[in-house]
Amino acid sequence: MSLSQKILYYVGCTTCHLYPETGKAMKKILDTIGIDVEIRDDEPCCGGALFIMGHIGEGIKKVKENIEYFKIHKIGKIIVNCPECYKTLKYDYPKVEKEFNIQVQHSTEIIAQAIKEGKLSLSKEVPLKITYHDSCHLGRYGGLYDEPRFIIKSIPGIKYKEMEFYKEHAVCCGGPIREPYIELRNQMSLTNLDLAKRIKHLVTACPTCYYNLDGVAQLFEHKVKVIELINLVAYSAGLISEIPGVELGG
Amino acid sequence: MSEKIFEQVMEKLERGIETIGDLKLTLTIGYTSRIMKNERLDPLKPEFIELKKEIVKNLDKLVEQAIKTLKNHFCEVILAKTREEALAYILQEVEGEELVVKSKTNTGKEIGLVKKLETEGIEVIETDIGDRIIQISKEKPSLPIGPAVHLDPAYIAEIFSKHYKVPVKPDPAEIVKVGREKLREQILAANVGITGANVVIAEEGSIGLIENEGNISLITRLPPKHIAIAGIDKVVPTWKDAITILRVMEAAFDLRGAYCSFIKGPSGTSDIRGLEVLGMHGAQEVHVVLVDDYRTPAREKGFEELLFCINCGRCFVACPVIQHAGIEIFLSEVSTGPIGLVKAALIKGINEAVAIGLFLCTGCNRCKELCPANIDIPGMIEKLREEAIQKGIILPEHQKMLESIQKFDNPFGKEIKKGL
Ligand code: SF4
Ligand code: SF4
Repeated sequence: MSLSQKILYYVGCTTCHLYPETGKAMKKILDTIGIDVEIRDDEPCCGGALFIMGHIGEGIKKVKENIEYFKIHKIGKIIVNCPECYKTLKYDYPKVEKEFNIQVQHSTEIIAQAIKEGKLSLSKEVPLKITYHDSCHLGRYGGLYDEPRFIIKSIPGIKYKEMEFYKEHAVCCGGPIREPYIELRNQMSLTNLDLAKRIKHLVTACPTCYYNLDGVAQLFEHKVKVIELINLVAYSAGLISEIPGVELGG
Repeated sequence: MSEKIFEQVMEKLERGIETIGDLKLTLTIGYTSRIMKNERLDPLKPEFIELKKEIVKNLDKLVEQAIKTLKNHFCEVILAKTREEALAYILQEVEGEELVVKSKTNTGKEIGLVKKLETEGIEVIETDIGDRIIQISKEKPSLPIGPAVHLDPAYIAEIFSKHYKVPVKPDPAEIVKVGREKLREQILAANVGITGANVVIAEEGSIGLIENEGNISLITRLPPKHIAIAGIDKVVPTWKDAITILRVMEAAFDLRGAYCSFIKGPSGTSDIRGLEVLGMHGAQEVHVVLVDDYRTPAREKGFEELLFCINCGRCFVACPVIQHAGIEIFLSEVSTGPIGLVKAALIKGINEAVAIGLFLCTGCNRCKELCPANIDIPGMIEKLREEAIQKGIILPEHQKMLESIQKFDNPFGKEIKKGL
């Protein structure tokens, strides 16, 4: 990446639209670490959904347009917090255009590295029992299993425990087939919630998983609470005053 | 037309979710825990995958060599370009027979063997106990290597008792005993035994079969004629390679394969004056039917990884959609499980694939992760979806999402605020 190039924090459609507060928390984390990013209000959709649906031709078209977009805006590196964007940008874009060489990093990679380098200190206690749901895109596709676990375990007060199926064996939340197969999605998310039942707090690093797991937990009045990893980190770093969805009781 | 297929899928899904009950736990926790952490399989994977790649690259030559060496060992060999050719050959070989005994053969299933023989008035007896239970009960099969594991022993005892007209206690050992006695009578009565082949060794002119029950050992020896059916992808270069594959098959489900048969043509003796007589204790004739059918087209279509499949069924166990919506998902007459979905698309066409759940896959990649050959099933599913769309089969919800991305540059169907 040359000096004239910029780092883009690519927020992703789901975070922009459904969880802008998470996006803002991520921006605060990046500021704290000292990474200067650009956020653009004309950010394009990554096109990942097109490939999943089978609109491969349309997907390829979109990828080419976006590569052009990154070029025009002198983007030298992309930071994402959505695992689907991560998988698409990092693995599908180079398949479409071999010379696509913009570095793509997921928020968990950035945060884990900052903790290790002492650039982000997580000092506020979170006295909770916590488990982690591996997103399919981040885990099985992206291979990022250790970073989120390292981050969670770095937070003081947390008692961490794995679910019965984790890492490569994690169970999909069912998000991608939500439309029109909502009942199947419900059942798949419920399995995850049930697997986390005794641990009570289920952390995810994916806005889509969050949307599905949290939505189903509320729909079925499940006692498991779903937590977005970025919020957990921002809280422990003293950047936000509470973790959405969780009562820490003083 | 596409509406009707999607209605069928929705019905199948709703029925599956509603009736899955306890089976959900068996599928999600039961089998899955058993195969997930597999210390036997993992170290074998790299060598296995390399071998499969080599085989597919040199397949035509290997098949040619296998045909020659098998023929040298007095086997009758046919290379069937299509399933019709394979069926026609087998029909001709069983002509005049009333009874045929067989063991599990995925290739046989793929070409519709049992149905064909039955329409010709031949009784076909499955000799794997699980398959026999499915055959008698007419239930839907589940796990490829254990098709009846989802059925309650009390229910199996009841259907056995009705079928064989003897009292059967709902105890696994009792059920197996009755099955064994009845099957043995039929194996002895049959003139033809049909099996698959797990490997066909090109250099040796030999086929290899691994099993637990012993039925394969019996039906390859006792009936005078043995017909083995195998996809051309089962050909391996050498003995050593055959062992690699058989070890992977055993490890895939952490099983103990009690018997392994390597068959180099008919049994025989030269003990009388040194004159070779074929057919001593074992079969007098061995026929090997090598089936191409969808395999060469699959290679041409960029689906060559399909030929890496050893039908172990791990992808079936891995799939969360099957776990939550039941064994009818991805099940067709020719195959089952995630890889079965892809095979069904090639064998029966894209409409069939859509009807059994092409659009139910979440793309979670668990099947690929757990497959011994890491076959990119979700990648193939994406390509098949593209094919379906090109034929005008598209989910209305997907159409909307496509239009939303095209019009609003996001999947939410309206203008949204981008950035923060
Ligand atoms: S990728 Fe699709 S077929 Fe494979 S396990 Fe996941 S849902 Fe099943
Ligand atoms: S695709 Fe892989 S996991 Fe599935 S049956 Fe074939 S070899 Fe086994």
